[in-house]
Amino acid sequence: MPVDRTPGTRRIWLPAILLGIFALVAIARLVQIQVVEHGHYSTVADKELIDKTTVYARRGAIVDRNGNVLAISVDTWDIYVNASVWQDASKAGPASEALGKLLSMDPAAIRTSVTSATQKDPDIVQVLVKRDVPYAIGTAIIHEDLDGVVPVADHERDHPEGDLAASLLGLTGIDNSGLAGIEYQYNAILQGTPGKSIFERDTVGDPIPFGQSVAVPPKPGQDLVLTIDRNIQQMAEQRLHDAIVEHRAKGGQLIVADPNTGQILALASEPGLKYSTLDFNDPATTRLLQNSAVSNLYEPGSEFKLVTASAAIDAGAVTPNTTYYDPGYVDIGGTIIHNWEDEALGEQTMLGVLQNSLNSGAVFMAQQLGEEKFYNYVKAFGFGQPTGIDLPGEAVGHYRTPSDPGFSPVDFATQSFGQSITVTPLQMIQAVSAIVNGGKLIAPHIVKATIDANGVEHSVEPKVAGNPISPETSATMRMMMHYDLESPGYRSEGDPKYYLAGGKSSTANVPVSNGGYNDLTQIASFVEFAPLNDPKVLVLVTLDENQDLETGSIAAGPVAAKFIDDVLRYMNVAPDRADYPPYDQG
Amino acid sequence: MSSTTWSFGGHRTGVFQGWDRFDYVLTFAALALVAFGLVLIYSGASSTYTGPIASLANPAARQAVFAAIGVCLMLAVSKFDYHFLTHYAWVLYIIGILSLVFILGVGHTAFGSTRWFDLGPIQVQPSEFAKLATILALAKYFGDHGGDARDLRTLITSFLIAAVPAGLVFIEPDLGTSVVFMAIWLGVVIVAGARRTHLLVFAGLFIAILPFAWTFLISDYQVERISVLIDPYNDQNGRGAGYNNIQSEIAVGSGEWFGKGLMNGDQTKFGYLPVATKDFIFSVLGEETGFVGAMVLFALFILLLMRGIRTAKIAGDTSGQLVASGIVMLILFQAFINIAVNLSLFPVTGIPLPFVSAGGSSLLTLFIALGILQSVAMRHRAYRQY
Repeated sequence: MPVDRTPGTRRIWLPAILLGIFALVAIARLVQIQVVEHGHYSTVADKELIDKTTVYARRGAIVDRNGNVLAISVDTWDIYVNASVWQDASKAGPASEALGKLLSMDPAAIRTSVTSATQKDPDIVQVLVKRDVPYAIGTAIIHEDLDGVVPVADHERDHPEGDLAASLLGLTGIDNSGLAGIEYQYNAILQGTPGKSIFERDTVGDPIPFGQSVAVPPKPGQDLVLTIDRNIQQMAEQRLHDAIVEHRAKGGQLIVADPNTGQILALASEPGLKYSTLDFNDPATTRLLQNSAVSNLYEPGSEFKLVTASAAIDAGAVTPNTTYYDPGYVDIGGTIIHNWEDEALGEQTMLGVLQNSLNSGAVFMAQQLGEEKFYNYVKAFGFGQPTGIDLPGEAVGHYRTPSDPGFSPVDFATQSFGQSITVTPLQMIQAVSAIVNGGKLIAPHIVKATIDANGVEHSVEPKVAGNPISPETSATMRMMMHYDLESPGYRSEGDPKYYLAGGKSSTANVPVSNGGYNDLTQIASFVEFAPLNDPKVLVLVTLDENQDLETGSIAAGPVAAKFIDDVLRYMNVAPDRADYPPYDQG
Repeated sequence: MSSTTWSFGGHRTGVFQGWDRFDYVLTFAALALVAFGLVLIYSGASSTYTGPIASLANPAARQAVFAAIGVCLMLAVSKFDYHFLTHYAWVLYIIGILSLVFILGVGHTAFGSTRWFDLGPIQVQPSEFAKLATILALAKYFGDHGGDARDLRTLITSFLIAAVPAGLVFIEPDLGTSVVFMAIWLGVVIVAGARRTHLLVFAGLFIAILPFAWTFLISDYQVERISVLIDPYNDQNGRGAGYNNIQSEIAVGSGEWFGKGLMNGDQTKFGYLPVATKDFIFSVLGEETGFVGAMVLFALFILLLMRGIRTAKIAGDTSGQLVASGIVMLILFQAFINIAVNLSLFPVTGIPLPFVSAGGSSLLTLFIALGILQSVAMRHRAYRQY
């Protein structure tokens, strides 16, 4: 018989039920935070203890055609301070003293910059003290293990050649991407693929130096080999600058290309970017980021007669010996177009048209050719279309054709000698290259090859975009351009001393706002190739608005001639004429 | 009871006697929890301990040693008739009370609270011992008084038996443990047949006292811990009382269904979780093994609960039944409080997760408690009265 039994054994289950309810509450809570709201907590977890930061890949180097480094990324450190740690004056004091010594900065100024940053943004954790500290100093700071001081690895773009080719190379921003020039154009190749790193933070919220575990390693960028030759570039920049000073020009370009391949050997332009005087607070800087050789549109003037002559000869409309009568002007339906010397030269050959730069002769050639064919040739030479140069911000240029509204026969006439048509310096390089290289239109380019992470070089092959004229026409044009420089009893200021060359000057009017031209603003230029039978270089010298109002022949011609002499000697091309002095006496 | 000695196939005599009634399932559940705990302790200690695995400095290795000692203690205790313990219940109870009083004078203070005796390499927490002593005292008291809590006077006396140690640990201050004492009392008196009306009056009184306690009895740190529970981000420097709640919630929440994998918990690895091997070990589990891991843990505790209730059910007499109920409440309620703290459902207290959290004092007490439970189970026939 039951004696000592507690009443109702079912009661034994009551605590279990109570605990079971507790368990259900706990499970409900687990479902809430682990299943329903897990996204929120995962985000918080990621944000809080690990900072995922972008690890910029090492940016590829830019070297010239002979491997001389023009731009390269070097390892640096950005020095940050954890503001919350520095709230403790006993830590901020010694840490800022030591940091100031290493960075050659005033410790009080460092402390002030940290406190003012926290006043501006109370949530800020890391305050940047100094960017791009040299590698050795950064490692010294890490070694000191200063309270709250956090060096973060970075790269800085270094230019061993200083300002050389700066307006060509362009700039990079602090986020490791290119902002201008080749750096911008080839950003995708140079930049590489940024990786991701997980920044471990200790429990005080400090990133742990060297405690970076790289989750996705960055892929380094590829190196670029330019077609530029460092020495030719330097020479080009110097000569251009001297000419601009001498002729009091507003600016100018000096472009050196290999007419057979479209490779740009040197490209100098002024005004242009200079790393040494770069100032982003100056609004004019923005304009400097644009390279005038690709973005400047101008009316080429007489140099364009080369295009007209090539077209007329190639189509068989004229030969170099075709003659016409020059009255000193042309009458186009009542509109009188004058030659630059405004006097009647009488009977002239087509060669004479180039030598005397007769506008009436250019009009004659174009008229012999006919409108339709003329425009076909202009198009075939690449005008009105981008050349495809691998530099950012290329302008296209424009000219009116018969299908355009408002087209008049005067347009056709003036275009034949290079007015009423806008081109870029590089379009001229492209067209004249085709005229002298046997008739191949080749896109000018500035990158010769890329070098991938494995060191394998991938060459950029020249792209032949068309054949506007035949090789025979090209040979004829080379001779005509040669006779333009020197012929019995005549020698141009642009004729090189030691090499047989071909060239053409131009003194183009600059259109002013009323639609007409102003005799006081002009562009003086000279285009020239050498050697005569196997062109190795093509040089275009352009002086914008030279205040001395010297013509293209006189202002730009000697610059081009001297350049041809020097660059061909530098390239070890045998001279065509005797008394060739040793290079070092140049 | 018949004097015939029954002898069945597996029946042994001497030291081997009674092992056929030893609860192996219960033991399995406890050891599985210990094993689970060892892995979590190893992971949780990874932010602070970097030495070899087989070293006593390694918290996981220490825990394993304590577990081995604990199993021996359990086997030894289970060989004692629990009546031997209830017989001396009052002595043990007085010793427990005295040690709690004593600790307030000389104990070791940690985390703003005095709970330990420092005995060289190990710290002894007298409240652990007092919990067992109180369970035995309650069982003894009801056993001596007809095993009935229906009488109000008996109920109030039993309340005082639990309230004295509860009050002493409250002064330490250790809010969590004092709540455990009251939970043990509640579990015991429910089984002992307390009237519903009486319990409701107790509940009403408790609620009435609460605002008073909030103002005068609870220390500032407790108030802070409770208020950050409601709004963990309302904490000026973000590193104070609310920090624990935020970090454990983030750890558990970011674990999702299957967790980030053992040893892969970022919150754990980078030292974000406070006391990751002890009070917040459940957060390690939540982060690294996810919801599924938590459910495995729950299943093991539920298995432990069912075997404990079974023991209470088959217990040969009132004191055995109440001892079993008290021990079930002791283990499971601590588990609940610990998990609730980790899930920000309860203010932060220093209650470990039974069998899982690192800590020798707690683990040894738990195995002794299991030994007592086994003792009840192994002797249920001997004291069954028909």
